[in-house]
This record gives sequence, C-alpha cells and structure tokens, in this order.
Amino acid sequence: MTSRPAPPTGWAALAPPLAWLGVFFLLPMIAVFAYSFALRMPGGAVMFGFATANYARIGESALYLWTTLRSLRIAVVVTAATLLVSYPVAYYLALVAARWRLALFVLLIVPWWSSILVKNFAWVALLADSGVINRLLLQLGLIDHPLKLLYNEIAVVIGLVHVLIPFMVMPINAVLERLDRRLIEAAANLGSSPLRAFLEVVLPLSLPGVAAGALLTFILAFGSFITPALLGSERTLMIANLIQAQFMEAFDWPFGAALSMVLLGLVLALLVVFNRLIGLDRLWKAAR
Amino acid sequence: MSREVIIELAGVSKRFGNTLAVDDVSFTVDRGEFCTLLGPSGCGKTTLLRTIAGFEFPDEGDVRIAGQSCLDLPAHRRNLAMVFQGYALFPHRTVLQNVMFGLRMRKLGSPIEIVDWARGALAMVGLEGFEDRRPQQLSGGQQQRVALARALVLKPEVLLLDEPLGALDLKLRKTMRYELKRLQHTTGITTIYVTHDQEEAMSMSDKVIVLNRGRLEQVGRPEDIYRDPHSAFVGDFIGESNLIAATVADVGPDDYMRVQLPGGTTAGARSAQAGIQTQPGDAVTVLVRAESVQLSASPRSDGDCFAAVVSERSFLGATTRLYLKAEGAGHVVIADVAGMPPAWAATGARAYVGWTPDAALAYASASMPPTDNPT
Repeated sequence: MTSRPAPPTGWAALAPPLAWLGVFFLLPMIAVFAYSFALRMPGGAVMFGFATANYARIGESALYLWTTLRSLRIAVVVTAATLLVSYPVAYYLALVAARWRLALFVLLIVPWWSSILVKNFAWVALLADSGVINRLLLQLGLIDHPLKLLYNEIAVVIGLVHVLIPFMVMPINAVLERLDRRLIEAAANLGSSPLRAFLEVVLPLSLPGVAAGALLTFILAFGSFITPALLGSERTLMIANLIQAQFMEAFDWPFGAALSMVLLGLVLALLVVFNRLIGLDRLWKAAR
Repeated sequence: MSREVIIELAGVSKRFGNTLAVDDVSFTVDRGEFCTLLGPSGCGKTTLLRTIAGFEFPDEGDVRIAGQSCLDLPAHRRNLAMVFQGYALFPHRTVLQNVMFGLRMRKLGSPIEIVDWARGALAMVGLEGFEDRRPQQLSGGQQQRVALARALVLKPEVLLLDEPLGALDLKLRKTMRYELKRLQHTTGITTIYVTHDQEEAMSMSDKVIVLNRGRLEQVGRPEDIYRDPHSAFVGDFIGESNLIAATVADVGPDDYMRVQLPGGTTAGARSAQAGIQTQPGDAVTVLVRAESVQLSASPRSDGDCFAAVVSERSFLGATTRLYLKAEGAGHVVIADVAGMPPAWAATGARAYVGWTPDAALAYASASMPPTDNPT
C-alpha cells in the first residue's frame, strides 16, 4: 500500500457529502414540504400556510390509492424479474468469466450511461404492432394479427427491468467477487455437488448483495415515471406520473407537493421495515 | 506392518500458462503414513495437494487413490478431506453446522447420528461448548481445530492439510504441531501435509518429499534427508547450513576428497552423490552444517582450517550462532556452538574455522541452488 495523507475523520469527513445532500436534496425537499401545506388560489396563485387540504384531497379519490397499489405491484414484479435476470449475470461475471470479465463489464455499464429515453424507445421499436417482434412472428406465420405488446403493464415491466438490471447486478457481483473461492472448494471437498455448493454456500453468502440490489431496484421502480409514460397507458399510470401531471399539466404545485411527500413517506417507511428485517448496516458491510 | 500404497502420483506435470508448476513428479503415500510435501513457495507443493483433492487436473501423468485412477472423478466424489489454508470455514454456519456439513452432503448417517458424530469430533479437538458459535467468533487456533474436526469427522481415506498452521503464532504453532501429530496417531489416518517450514516437516512426518521449482528433489525419512541430502538445495533448505564454492584438489578412496576453498586453504570433504566421479579441478559446492563447524583459537594441527573474524553473535538459547567472515576470502560461515561460546570468540576476534571430512558434503556445482535462503 502506498501511503496517503490521513483522510479526515468525524464531522470533517462528513461535511462534503452533508453539504451536497443539504443543497441538492434537503433544501428542495423543504421547499416541497412547504408547498404541500400551501393552497392554490383560483387564478393559479399559491398561498403558503398550514393547510391540510391537499392531503385530505388525496384520501378523497380512490385514484391515488389504486395508483399507489399499482405502483407497489409493478415495483414488486419488476424487482423479482430483475433479480431473476441479474443473478446469473452477476454470478457469471464474478465467478465464471475470466478473460472477458472487463469487456463484459463495459457491456453492462455503457448502456447504463445512455439515456433512459433511448432505452425505453428501443422497446417501442421492438414491441409496437409493426415492431420487430410482431413482424418476425407474422412472417414466421406464428400469428395472424399483431400481438398487443406495447402500452400495457408488461411493456412497463420489461422497460423497467431493462433499465434497472445494472442496479441489481452491481451489488450482487460485488458480494460474489469477494466470496472466498476456497469456501466453494471446501463445499466440494466435503461432498457437495456444484448445485448443492451453490445452494448451501454461494447463495446464502450472496444474500446481502441480493437485498441491497432488491432495495435499490424496488425504490427506483416504485418512483419511476418515464417508463410508464412511454411504454404504458393511462391504465398503467404510476404514482410519479400523477405527481408529474400535477406539476406540469394541472399546475397545481401544492397538490403535487403533497403527493410527493406521500411517496417519500412510503419509501422511508419501506426503508424502516427493511432496516428492521434485514438491517441497512449489514448491507453497508456487505458492500465493502 | 504391511505397506499398502493409498495415494500414487505417476509422472504428474501441471502447467499454468507458461509456467511449469509441477514437473514430472512421482511418489507414493502408504496407508497410515504422515507424509509432508516440503519446499519454498512456488515449488508446486500446493498444486500437487490440489491435484490430489481434485481442484486441479494434471496435464500429464496419473493420480491414483487406492489403486484407482481418479482423474475423471470430480472433487466432490473423492473420499478425501482437506484442511484449507485459512481454514475456509463457512461464516454463515455455526461451528456445529460446519462440522456437520460434510456428513450431511455425503449422507453418512441419520440426522441424529450426524449431530452426535459432529459433537464427538468437536470434543476430540477440545471444543465442547463452542457448538453454537460462529467461526468469526473463534480465535485462529480454535478455527483451526474446527477445520480439523470438519475434516476428521468424515473418516476420509486421506487427510489433506494445506499449511494449516501458517496463520498461527509461533507458540500456538508448536502446540498444534504436537496436537496434529497426536490426532494423526490416534486416528491412524493417512495424512498429506503441505508446508514450507522445514522444522514442521522434520518434527511431524514419517516421510518428507522435498520439492523445488516443480521438481521432486528428494523423498525419505526426515533423519535420512537431514543426514544425507541428495542435493545442495535439500541440504541448504533443511537445517542451517553453509554452502561454500570450492574446487576439487585431490580425489581419495571411498568418495573422500580434498577441496580447495576460496582464499586458498584446503579441507577434507566427501562426495554427496555416491558413484559420481569427480576430477581434480572440478567445481563443487561444499555443504557444512552449522553445528558441524569446529572453531579453535589457534590453527588446527591438521592444518585444514582458515582464519576468520567473528562478525556477529546471536544467542539462541541452547546454542549460540556465530557469523564468521573468512579472512582474505570474504565469505561468511555460520557456526552453531553449544551453550555460550568461549571467551576468545568475542565479536571482532579471530577464530579458526574447520571441520572433519565426514561433516563436509561436496556436490557438483551444477546443483548449486539460488542463494536466497527461505528459512
């Protein structure tokens, strides 16, 4: 190890990230919080105060409850599907790929840098009535008329899984890469077939990575709005779409802010539950 | 006691990329034997052990367990148990679950029997009461015992140990050495032990296999290897020795010869490689054990000695080690003397260095090892 200047400790070490969070997260959140208790006057003016009317309005319409439940459902399905796709990828990258590991990693990361819009529109081209998949199936004579693949929940799930795969692969891969290979050899030496060794040793030891990836994926899926807007329909709207509509279409910032606070509260509640069940500190340890 | 070969390696070679890690190695291990693969790092000893375990497959040669070639047998089908370097205990399992693991995987008994046997194995290594701990909560020595129990409980055909004491401190290492030997003795289990520590190898083994750069240097009982090293490398690696470059001056009967040392003095020596004829003028490497070096305050009566200056003394307890720099030649000779050295051998003083012809082994210089001494 080369010697480096001693890193700052205590609050000095925390100051930059805290400042960053303060400016780019906390201040905007305080603004949203303030808006959520304001009132939108006829004519569009906003009157700040301590009105709870916006929150009451959320409870009045079943739309918000149903949309929240739909968002939860989509997020659960997306998380499960992403895990199923990502675990083999992470496993392959960490434990099998030797020579091409770096190249494969680049293949995983580069799409991550590209815009979510590009990735979602790619699915429009694939899933549309005249898209690649339907044309192929028609030409093969497997179907007589195009399948309805786009603008439904399946399309939204596919689009989200595609976008979120790196968030699941990375933490699982990180845990698997640090896994002591001798543990797998020890399992084999003690009589485990490769499958048993995976189930008894590799899988349980990779669970912290799975939990971290699932948490990230779930939160990102739950709050997504571009993908349901592009690949879904009005019947697949998610809670973030409603918030966006209030800000950008209805221009009712106070109500949009109240919806935002509810979304934030739900995510925080999930984190608390997750912390109780699994422990966020264990994820932190697993990621190191 | 009839000998029964349980492990046999025949002409095993293994290549990693461009490096030949193991080069045409053959040896056998008898049932019940404690056999050690000894050599410096990179000598191929761990590769050989991993080949026996089934984690590596040789490019050439055959590995036979109880007479059967096991090259097409994957690791999990071989009835061997290994104690890994660093132990490789499962961190997500308790101590008891670790010990039960192999019994469960190999389906060796009913669930109740498995728990019983695992508890028995833990008792055997002195770890009763630690069943529900996690490996991370144990000391290095305790983890080592768990690894041993996990392997021994399977009653495997052969126990494989890969530098099992490497991570322990010196005191504990010596205790565990004795412990291991005791367990091996009571269970009678065939053991193959890998180490770079010659003291460990000499004190524990029935048979030592010395390896260097992937090649087998010598196989034999520890005392035979110590007394009669077949190469300068083996002589240098085992025990504390002096290697002195010399030239054959005269060849006598019974493998005895006179050699000329740097600085011009001559001394007696005997050829280590019986049957190999040396001629006057041949370059040889003379090996003299540190404890065989004789020091005197004045020149010996036979004249076979050279003057040197005591440059360093280190007190080792039962012996004292002196470092002597030959006058006029510059090479350093190590001499171990019992107890405290005489007063005339103080640091900076002159002493005369010599030995009896029997104590000096001459090797043809081609077998001169690299000078870095790993001990």
